[in-house]
Amino acid sequence: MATPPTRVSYVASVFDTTTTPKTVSVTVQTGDRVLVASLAANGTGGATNTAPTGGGETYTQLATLGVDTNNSRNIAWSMTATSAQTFNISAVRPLVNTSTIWGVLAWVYRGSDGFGAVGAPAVGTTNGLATFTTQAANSAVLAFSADWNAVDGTTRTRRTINASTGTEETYYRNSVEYTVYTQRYDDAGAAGSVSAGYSAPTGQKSAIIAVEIKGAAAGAAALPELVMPQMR
Amino acid sequence: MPTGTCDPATRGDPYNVLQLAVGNGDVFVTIRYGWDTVSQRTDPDGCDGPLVNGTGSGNGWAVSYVNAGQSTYYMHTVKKNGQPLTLTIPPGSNGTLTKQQAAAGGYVNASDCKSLALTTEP
Repeated sequence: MATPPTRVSYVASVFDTTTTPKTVSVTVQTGDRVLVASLAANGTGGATNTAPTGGGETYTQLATLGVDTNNSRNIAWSMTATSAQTFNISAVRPLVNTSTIWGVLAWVYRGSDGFGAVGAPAVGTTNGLATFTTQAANSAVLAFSADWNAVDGTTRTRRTINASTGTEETYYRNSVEYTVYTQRYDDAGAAGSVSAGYSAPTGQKSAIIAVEIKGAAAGAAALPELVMPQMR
Repeated sequence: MPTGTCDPATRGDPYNVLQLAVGNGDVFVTIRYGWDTVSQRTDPDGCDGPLVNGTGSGNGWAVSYVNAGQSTYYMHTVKKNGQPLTLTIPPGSNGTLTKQQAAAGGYVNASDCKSLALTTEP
């Protein structure tokens, strides 16, 4: 049994411009877990994998999907804050082509023992579905996808994890370009297989990534007992 | 990037669509636009065209907005000339604008609806 991590914030840029770089502002405390993702309509011209910058922190790539014209692009990075501060995370367009629209987002979580499993099925092989096995109990699960087919999601259905359909953060669609879905599940329950994403609309060609944010294990913060040798 | 061109007819659609939802879907805007017959997907600003009304009973609108939340939201966009536009969406509202009504607020073309964002900040 663990305590689920606390969602501190979610911020996203616009998803409908080609502007680069794009920034999102976050406020963190030491130890906060930050998930950053870039989503683009497609990978025309070839993909790039430049890590975000900001706050003097280190960003580690977790997954990258979609590297060609016929798929949407999705990249995720993790960062653990090493100091308390407010700063901008800056990300560059994750592809060579200059006329592709895209956006960047960031979640901040507190009270977490770290990042866990990552689900990133081969792009275009699922309809908004990322199935993976969480490593710890009571983790949060974040899922975000770009649908190359730009299917109409006016009516949409989120998949269920631990009896919850979670919460949608952003839905964006340009019927000529792509559709973006971002969502979270606050408590994925016992460690095990979970399926995140949207089951409807159907017909999606998804670049979907799901990331586990572990909770805080009971007693994890306690210091080990110090035993002094007996002095004679 | 679905098949076709900027012309919605190439996808069998009556119009192109921009949509944005935040707040767990409680706040949702839809903008319909056609094709100006000039713009191309590969243009720096992508496809452009005039806002258009749907057809049929109850469907004759170019912009729709819903705010099922408790706070006022603002739809922010930026016109091609850099001028920002803001549409106020009060809590509990559920309405539509015809293309004529939208034009009165400055929303004439899809390019008037760039940098689409929904926030609680005016």
